[in-house]
Amino acid sequence: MMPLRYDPDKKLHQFARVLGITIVSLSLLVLVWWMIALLIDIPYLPTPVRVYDAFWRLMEFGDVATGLTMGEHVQSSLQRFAGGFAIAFAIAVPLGLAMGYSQTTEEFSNPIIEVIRPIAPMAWAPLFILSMGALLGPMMVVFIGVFFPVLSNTIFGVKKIDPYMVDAARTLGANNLQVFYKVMFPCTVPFIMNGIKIGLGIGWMCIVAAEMIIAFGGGVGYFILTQSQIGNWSNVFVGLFLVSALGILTTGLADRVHRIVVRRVGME
Amino acid sequence: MLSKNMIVVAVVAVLVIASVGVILLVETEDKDPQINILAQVNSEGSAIFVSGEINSLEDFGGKIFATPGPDSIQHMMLMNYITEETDYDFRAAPGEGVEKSDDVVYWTQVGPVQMKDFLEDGTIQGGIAWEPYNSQIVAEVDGAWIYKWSDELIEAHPCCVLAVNSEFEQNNPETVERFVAAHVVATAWIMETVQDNTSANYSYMVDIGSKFAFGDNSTEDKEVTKDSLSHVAFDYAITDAWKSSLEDVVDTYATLGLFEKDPESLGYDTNEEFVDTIVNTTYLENAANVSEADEADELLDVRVGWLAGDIHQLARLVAMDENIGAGLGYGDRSIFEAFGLNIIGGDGNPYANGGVVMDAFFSDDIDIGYLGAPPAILRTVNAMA
Repeated sequence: MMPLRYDPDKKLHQFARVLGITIVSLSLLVLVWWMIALLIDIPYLPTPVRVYDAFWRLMEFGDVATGLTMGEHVQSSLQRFAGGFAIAFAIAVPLGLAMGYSQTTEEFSNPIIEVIRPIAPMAWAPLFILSMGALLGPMMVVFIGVFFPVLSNTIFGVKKIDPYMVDAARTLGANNLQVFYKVMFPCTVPFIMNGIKIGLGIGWMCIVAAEMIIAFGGGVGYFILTQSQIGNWSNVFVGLFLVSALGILTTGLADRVHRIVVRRVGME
Repeated sequence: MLSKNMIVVAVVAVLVIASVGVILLVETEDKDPQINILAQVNSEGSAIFVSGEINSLEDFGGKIFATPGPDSIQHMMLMNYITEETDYDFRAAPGEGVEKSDDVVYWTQVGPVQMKDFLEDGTIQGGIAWEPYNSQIVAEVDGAWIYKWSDELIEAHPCCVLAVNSEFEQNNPETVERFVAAHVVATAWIMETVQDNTSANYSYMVDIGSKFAFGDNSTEDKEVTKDSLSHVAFDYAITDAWKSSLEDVVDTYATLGLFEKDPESLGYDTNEEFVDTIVNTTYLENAANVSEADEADELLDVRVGWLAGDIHQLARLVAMDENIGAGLGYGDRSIFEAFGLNIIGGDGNPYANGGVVMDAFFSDDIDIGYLGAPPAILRTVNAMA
């Protein structure tokens, strides 16, 4: 029988290695968490077994404290998250392209942006939620969280474009509009996607925190808050894992879209 | 020499062996309740109020009701009433733009202090609160009315109680003894004073209650406070009937599915056994034997938590008031001071609801607290899971 040897050039071997390490790594996380939970024995840190039981109980009976199902909580969060992200994307990308392309636009916009940028997204939450309500308010918190990473990366992307490429396009007869959509935009896409990936991570943090302020409409953050109020810490941990899973799913999706778009625009 | 990979593998192996060892060897011990209930503070005194657009139970569908939070007795009573006595579902309110069903009564969390404003601006169409906020809403919001007082929901339901951190109780029995004795004197004074609403003591009690709940002493606020006092039953006694109603609370929470593990799963044979464990009547039984402290004695510090603006907890206000103490013959001392106690509000005091008082217990910010019996039960049982 041939001994099993790892060959880094074989994709199957690479996949098996990553899978193996991931399984060991996550198993270790669960074991260490279990050990700590048993050793310190406080209500705020349930064992993995209790959290596992709580997960299936929630799947079967829903969240009895609010009367909502877990699906409804997830749907509420995704709705707010997607709305905030869409608004941020729609404003940050054109603005970033314009600021990167035009020095005057950048000089004009910079003071405004630099005044707003240091304000943490959550600092806006009470204002947005009280003035705009339980749907648009949290969306705007996500908007702030996603907007700046996308904007910064877009500006950076435009500035990184090789001037020779623009000159070459002009030499070949491209007008301003053609330079914009045939050179600038494709070259900036990888940077925009990078901004989106960063923004998605921040956006998730924002939505969960914002939902802990509102009292309407469910949401994963709202679920975590309610469960902590009745002291059901196993359910709180289910909520935390849900946030993690949704974050991984959205950033994974963004990564996939990133690769497809980059391939399509020929920027691999 | 060890390679980097071998070091990583060794660290992982050690952690795995240590974790598995602990998991196999450490047995989880049954936990005791972290608090004990020492005395009653009041029963009754909550109500479901509704706006003028609600005329009967048929109009409840699709409306939003405010509660002080999912861990409050008020929430439990509304939830229990809607799910057990009506055909409506009871769910958290949806966000704007989401169509509401007429088969559902929606709830949202609002502090009782803010419920009047929320009712006026149409955010909610009803709610359940502690006094004096129900009386205030009826007096000040056009068309608002009381749908049911809490005694119509659960007769003689347990409401606020005096609870103590179990560890503090074990280490400081004398302080607890004095506190319960002061609570008994204060509550007895209230029980006597409410009998005669023409007396000077009654007027004074209304004054301090009004100032505590509303921040001032306007004629309107005093009238609301007087009205609210007539809906609250003040008492310190723990009777078998009261303990039985506490068992009903345990049973209701178990039925509603709000316990992670119910007392039976925690090793108690019956709800009665659990209630007997959490309720400690020893101090109450001995209260009459506790004598006044000498004025020269150094006061014992005790960190206390109470609810914001809750007239149910009037006994605490009365026990801290020096004028009432003087009237009772304690010189210039309050009742608490007369029993040798220095009351220190816990960090974050006053608290928004009973759940937050329980958090203050768990984080060791308070030694003794005034809170609703249901949040005390709910949070204690869930902390024992």
